[in-house]
Amino acid sequence: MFTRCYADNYRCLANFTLPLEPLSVLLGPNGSGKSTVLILIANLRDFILGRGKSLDLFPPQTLTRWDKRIEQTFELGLRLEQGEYLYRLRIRHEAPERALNKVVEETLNLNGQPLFKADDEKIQLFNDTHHPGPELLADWHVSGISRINVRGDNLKLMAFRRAIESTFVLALNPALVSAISKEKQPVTIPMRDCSDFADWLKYISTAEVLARQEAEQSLAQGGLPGFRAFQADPSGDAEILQCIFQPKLKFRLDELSSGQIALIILETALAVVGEGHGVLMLDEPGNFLGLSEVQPLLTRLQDAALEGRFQVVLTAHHPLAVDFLAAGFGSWLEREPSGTTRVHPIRVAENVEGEKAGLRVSDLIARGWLSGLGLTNKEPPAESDSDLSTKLPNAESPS
Amino acid sequence: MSRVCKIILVCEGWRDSAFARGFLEAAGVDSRSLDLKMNPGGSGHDWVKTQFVQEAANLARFAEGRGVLGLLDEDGQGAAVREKDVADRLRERELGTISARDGRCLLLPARNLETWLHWLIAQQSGSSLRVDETTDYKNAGPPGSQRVGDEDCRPAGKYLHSLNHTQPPDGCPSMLARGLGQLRDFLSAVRR
Repeated sequence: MFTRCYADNYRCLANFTLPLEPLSVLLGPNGSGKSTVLILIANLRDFILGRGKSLDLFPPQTLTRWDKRIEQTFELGLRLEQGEYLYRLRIRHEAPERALNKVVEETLNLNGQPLFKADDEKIQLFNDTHHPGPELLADWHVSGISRINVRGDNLKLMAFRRAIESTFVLALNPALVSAISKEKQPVTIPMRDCSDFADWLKYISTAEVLARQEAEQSLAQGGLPGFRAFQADPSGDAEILQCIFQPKLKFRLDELSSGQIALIILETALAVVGEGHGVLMLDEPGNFLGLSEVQPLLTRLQDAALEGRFQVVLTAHHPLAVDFLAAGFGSWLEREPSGTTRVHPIRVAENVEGEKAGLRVSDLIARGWLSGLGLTNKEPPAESDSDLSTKLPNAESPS
Repeated sequence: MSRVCKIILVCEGWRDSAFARGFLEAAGVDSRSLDLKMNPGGSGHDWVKTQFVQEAANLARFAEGRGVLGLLDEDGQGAAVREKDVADRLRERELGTISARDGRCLLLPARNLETWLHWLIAQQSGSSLRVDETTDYKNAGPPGSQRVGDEDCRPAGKYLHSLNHTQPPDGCPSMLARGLGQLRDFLSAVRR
């Protein structure tokens, strides 16, 4: 599971550290940086897996606008059975006006020992016992980790890459979801908006058969009464994804309602991530769902995370999600006047007792009475940005 | 696209809810017919008491014949006082008594849920662990016990469903045996 995400000089994230737990819920006002964190993790995943180049995933527009520095730094902490991994990436925008950048540092350590190290000239490989192996020429715009083949002595690095491959970041937009499957290459990871769901399901139908069956079963027993199965109908070079309902009704995926499409995607994602013990990051999963569907979904996500089946990271504005999960799992993101995002653990107990007793957390947020430190806006925290990242680990105890 | 909520589950935290849901799932209750109310913070004992009574009132008003199931750990006064406190609150609002047969079921571990979890997990693995109902096992279990994690709560609830409530195994904590009987009555009530 991911244990932390660090970003510096990326959009509104400056010297920003987000600790991550088996279940993490990111709360905060609009524009506070919640979705930015998920987009960043998706982009780092795509970079590490070779699904995109630094020029596309980290264009100059992603530099923090008011920061004059030209380097971006990112870190991901992961805990796997092999130990604690730390991935670090540094990108230098030497000619932002021409949208040119290059990777100047990419490293992967396990328990503090090197597994991979690259700068803008060469890549140094290490074996599983952390001894230096072959050297390769660096590519300025492509992750060196994505270029490495499986060998008998780099299994620890491959375990890291598999964990990254099992990370799904979704921000559903049912209006963009197409029923047409036309990709020739297998879609192993869907786009963030899941507009390529039909292509993803095609891949799942061959490579993750059990997950598809589980998704169909959950839909039939749960949120889609009468649903029986998916069916792909050939149409020229493409296929049309149909949903079969009892008794013999057939609807194209894009003929269903936004809520039904969202349910289909969420059930499929839950089944796939559950099979692979991966990580599921959902941006506003309660959007589009009927009120009665939200709590069952949140309960299943909470069960999965706390029972150790997969990690869950959510952003949420939905009052049900806020009230259900803020206590114990919530982090409050907010932007300061200077514009950078800061994060604090939410301590609900301080807010529901005493003078604000009787108010739900969602009420406190709606009224602007909740900040991460349990203080009103009249008493902003005193730490500077640079202090924040070092003080966060100690912020667990009540202030 | 509907979810008919039949059971309101009132718990202090996720562990209690997972345990109760494990039992209900094993009994064939669809998890989508549950509505969970978990303490958002602050004093858990009082919150569970207040919410249990409020949900009993909601059920009486909106959904006759369905049930509210609560789980209330020790608050330093003993199970009898805890039960009486809730019963008094129900009576004050003319909501009847705590009665699993009438869909108002309140589970009362003598100390806390961990006592039940340790005993059930040991039973399930074939070990005959002895537990003391008055000892707090939240941080450390009884001698010879396994670690109890979040992942054990639902399985323990499921295993409880497999026990015979008229003849619980030797060494079964008395309040757990009582709770098992209550849960059977509760299931009959909500299935009517």
